[in-house]
Amino acid sequence: MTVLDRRLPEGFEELERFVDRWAGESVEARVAAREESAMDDIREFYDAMLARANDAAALIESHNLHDLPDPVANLCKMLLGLAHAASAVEFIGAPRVRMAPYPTGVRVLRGPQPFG
Amino acid sequence: MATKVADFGDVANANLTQREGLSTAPVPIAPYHCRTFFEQETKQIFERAWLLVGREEEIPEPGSFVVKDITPTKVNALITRTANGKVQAFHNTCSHRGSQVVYATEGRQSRFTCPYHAWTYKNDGELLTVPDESNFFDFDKKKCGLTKIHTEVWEGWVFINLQPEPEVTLKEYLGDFAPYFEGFEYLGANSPVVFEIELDANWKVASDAFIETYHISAIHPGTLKDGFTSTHNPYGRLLDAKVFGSHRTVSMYGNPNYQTDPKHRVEAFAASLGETGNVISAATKAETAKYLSHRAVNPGKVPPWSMDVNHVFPHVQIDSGPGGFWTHWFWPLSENRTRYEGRFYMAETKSFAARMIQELYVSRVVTAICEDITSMQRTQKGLESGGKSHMMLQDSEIGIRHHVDQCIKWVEADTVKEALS
Repeated sequence: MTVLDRRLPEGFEELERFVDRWAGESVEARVAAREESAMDDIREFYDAMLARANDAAALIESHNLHDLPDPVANLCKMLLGLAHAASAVEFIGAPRVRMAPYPTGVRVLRGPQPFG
Repeated sequence: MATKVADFGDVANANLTQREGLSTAPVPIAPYHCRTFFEQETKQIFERAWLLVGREEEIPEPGSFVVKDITPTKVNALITRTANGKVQAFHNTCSHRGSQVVYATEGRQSRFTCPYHAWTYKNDGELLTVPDESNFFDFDKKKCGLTKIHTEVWEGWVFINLQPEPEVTLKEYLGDFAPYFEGFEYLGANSPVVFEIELDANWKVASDAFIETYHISAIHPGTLKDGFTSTHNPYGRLLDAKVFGSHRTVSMYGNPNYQTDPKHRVEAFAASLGETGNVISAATKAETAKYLSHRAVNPGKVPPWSMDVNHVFPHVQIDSGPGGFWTHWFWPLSENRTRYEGRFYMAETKSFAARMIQELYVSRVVTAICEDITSMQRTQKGLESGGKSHMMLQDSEIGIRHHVDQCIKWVEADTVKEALS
C-alpha cells in the first residue's frame, strides 16, 4: 500500500481492511454494517478495533471533532461503528435482532452530529 | 396485592388500577382491529382532541416551517413561525384549486409559492400575489389566504385542534396534567435524534408496548432487562401511576444495583475516556439537578427508578429518564398500520467521548426497537384472528387499560366535554 492509498492515519494500517464496511457516513450505514455482516466478521472487526480504540480516541481528540481530516474522520466513523459491533457481540449475540424482520424498516432520519 | 410493593422498595402503591378508579375486568380487543372503530377514532378522537404535533424548537426562528401529515385524518399541516414569533398551523392547501402548496417537509422561508399556478402566500397565511389576477371574477384576495388550523403552544409543545371551533380550550383539555407537568426542563430539546418505522400494528398496540415493563425480561433480555428488573422486582412492577383525565403517567422501576457488565467492553472503553456529566443531553450538572428535581420526574423521588412515561392523549408519550427526556409518536395510518416516530433529544457535542456514548445509546435504541417490532406485529395478527374478544391486563399494565378506556369513552361521547368528564 502506498501512502496515497491510505484512508486511515499512519499507524493504523492494520485496520484499513475494515474501512469499506465499517466507516459508514451515517448511523443508518453503521447499523447496516452490523446487520449485513457475518458474526465472525463482526467479531474480527470488534477485536481489532477495540485493541486500538484508546490510540484512535487519543488521535481523534487531538483534532476538532467537527472538522477532522479525512483519514482521522474515517477512524472516527469506525470507532462509532464499534458501538454497533458491540451490540452484536456483547448484547444480542448475532448480527441481527433475533426474530425481527429483515430489513427491519427502522430509519434513522437524523443522527447525532457529526456523522449522524 | 399487599406484598407486591414491599418486595422492592418504599413506595406504598399497591393496586394502582383500583386506586386510580379503573375497573379490573378483562379489556375488549375490538378497538385494536375493528375498522369501524378505527373510523370512529379518527372522527371522534383525532378530529376533536387537541393533538400534540411537535415542539417549537422544530421551528426555531421566524421563517422556519415544518409540514406534517396529521394521520389518521387527511390533514397535511403547514406549521410556521412568523416574523413576530407566532406559531401557526395551516391547511397546506392552495385557495385556487386545492393543490398542496408546500412540498418540502421543513425549511426556512417567509413566502410559499404554490407550484401549480404560482399563487404566493406569506407565512402568516396572507395571499400575496396571483398571476393574471384580473382574469378572475369578483376576486377578493383578502378572503383567499391559507386556512388556519387552531394552534396553541404550551410549554414549548405545539398543539392543533381540527374542530371548526374547539369545544374546549387546550388548558381544559390538559386538565390536571398541565400543572403537574409545567416547568419540566427540556434538556437538549433543539437537537433530537429521530427514528421512524411503519409498523403493521394498530397505533394502540404500538403505544401499549412503550408504557409497560412487564415484557422487558422476555423481549429485551440482553438490552434492557438488567436495568429494569432485579431479584427484588423480577417482573419490573411499576413504582407508581396516575391518571389525569384522558392523560396518564406511569413511573417505572429501575435496578438500583445496575452496573455496567464487564463484558460490555465498548461501554467501558467509552466511560474510560473521562467524559463526565450528562453526555446525552450535554446538560450541565446544575441543569440536570433542576430537571431531576421536577415533581414529574421520578415522582416518588426513590432510588430504584428508571424512567417515567407521560402519555398525552391520544398519541404521544413524553418520557423522562435520569439523563433527559425523549418522545414517542404513534401516528395511526389504518386499523392495523402505524407510523412510529421516536425522538431522542441529544445535544451536539465537541467531545469525541460524549459522541461515542451517544452512538452507543443510539445503537441500543435501534436494537431495542427491533426487538419490539415482531411482538407488536404478531400481537396485531393474534388480535385480528378473532380467537379472543378480551385481553387480561395486570396492575402494572394500568397505562394500557386507561388508554383503551379513554379511546372507547371518546368514541362514544357526543361532545368533547362529555369525553373529558
